[in-house]
Amino acid sequence: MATVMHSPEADAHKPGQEDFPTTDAPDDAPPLSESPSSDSVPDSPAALLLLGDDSPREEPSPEVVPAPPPALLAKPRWYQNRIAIIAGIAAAVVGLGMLVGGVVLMFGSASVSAEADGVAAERSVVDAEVADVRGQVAAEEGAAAEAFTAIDTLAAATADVATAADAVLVAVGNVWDARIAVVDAGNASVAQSDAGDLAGERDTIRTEVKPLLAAYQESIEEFTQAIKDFRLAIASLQEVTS
Amino acid sequence: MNERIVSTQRKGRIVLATALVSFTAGAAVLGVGLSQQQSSQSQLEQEQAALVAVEADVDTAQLDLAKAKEQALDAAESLGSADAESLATLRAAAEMLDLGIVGRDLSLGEANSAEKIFAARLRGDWDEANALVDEANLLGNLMVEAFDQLWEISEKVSEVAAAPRVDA
Repeated sequence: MATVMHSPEADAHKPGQEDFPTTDAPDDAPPLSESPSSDSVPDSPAALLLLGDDSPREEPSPEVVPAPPPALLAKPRWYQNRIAIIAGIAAAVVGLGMLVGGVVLMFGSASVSAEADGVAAERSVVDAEVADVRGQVAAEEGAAAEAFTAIDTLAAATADVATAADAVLVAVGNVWDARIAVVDAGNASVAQSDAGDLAGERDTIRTEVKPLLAAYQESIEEFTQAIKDFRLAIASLQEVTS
Repeated sequence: MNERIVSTQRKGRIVLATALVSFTAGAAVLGVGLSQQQSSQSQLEQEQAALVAVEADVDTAQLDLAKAKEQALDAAESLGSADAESLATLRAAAEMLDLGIVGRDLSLGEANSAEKIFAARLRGDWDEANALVDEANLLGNLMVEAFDQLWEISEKVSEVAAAPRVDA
C-alpha cells in the first residue's frame, strides 16, 4: 500500500480539531517498481537505482500535499456552528418579538378601530342634529315667507281700497261740481222769472239747466260705479284680512 | 469528537430552521399588525376630521336657525302690524262706503227733485215747484253733510292705507 506524504504541519494535532481523513491509494494504483508508463520518469530514489541512473535527484518536497476534496473544506468548524446557533437563537428571539409585537399591534388596531367606530357613531348623532336644525330653519323660513306673502297680499288689497277710495272722492267731486252748476243755472232761471222774464227762464231751463241736470245724473252714475268698485276692493281686503 | 460536532451541527440546523420560521412568522405578523394599525389610525383620523366638520355644520345651522327665527319673528310682527292697518283701513273704508252710498242716494234724489222743479217751472206750476225746492234743499243739505263726513273719513283711509310697512 502506497502512502501519501504528509506535511509535518498536517500531522500536528490540535485539541478538538478534526483530522483530515487519510486517503488510501486506490487498489489499481501501479506499484512502485512498475513504471506507470514507459515514457514517464521515475521520481523515487529506488526507482532511479533500478534504472541505473546514478545522477543525484532531489528529494520530493514534503510540502506537496494533495488537496482534500472540496466537500470536506465546506464543512463548518465547531465554533462557526455555535455562532450560528447563537445567531439563530437571537433571530428566533427577534422573530418571536416581532410576532408578539405584531399581535399587540393587531389588538391595538382593533382598539383604534373601535374608537373610530365610536367617533363615527358620534358623527351620526351630530349629523342627525344638523338635519333636525336644518329642518327647523326650513320651517322658520317657510313661516317667514308665508308671513311676507300675506303682508304683500294685505298691502296690495289695502292699496286697492285706497285707490278705489280715491276714485270715490273724484266721483264725489264731479257730482259736487255738477250739482253746483245745476244750482247756479237754476238760480239764474229763477232770477229771470223773478224779473218777469218767464220766456227767458224757460229758455234757460231748456238750454242750460237740462244739460247740466243730465251731466249731474251722469256724474251720479259714475259715482255709483266708483262705489261698486270701492265695495269690491273692500270685500277683497276683508277676505285677505280674515 | 465527531459525534459532538455532528450534534452541534444538528442543533445548529434546528435552531436555524426555528429561527427562520420564527423570524418569518414574526415579520409577517408584524407587517400585518402594522398595516392594520395604520389603517385603523387612518380611519380614526378621517372620522375625527368628519366629526369636526359636522360639528362646524351644527354651529352654522344654529346660526342659520337663529337668523331664521328672528326673520320669522319680524315677519310675524310685520304681518300683525299690516293686519291691524288693513283692519283699520277696512273699517274706515266701510264707513266711507256707507257715506258714499248715502251721499249718492241723496244726490240722486236731489237731482230727481231738481228735474221735477224745473219741469214744474216750465209748466208754470209754482206751488209744486216751491214744494219740491224744500225737498231738494233738505236732500242737498243731507248730501253735503254726508260728503263732508266722507271727505273726513277718506283722509283716514288714505292715512292707514299708506302706513309704512316692513319691506318683505
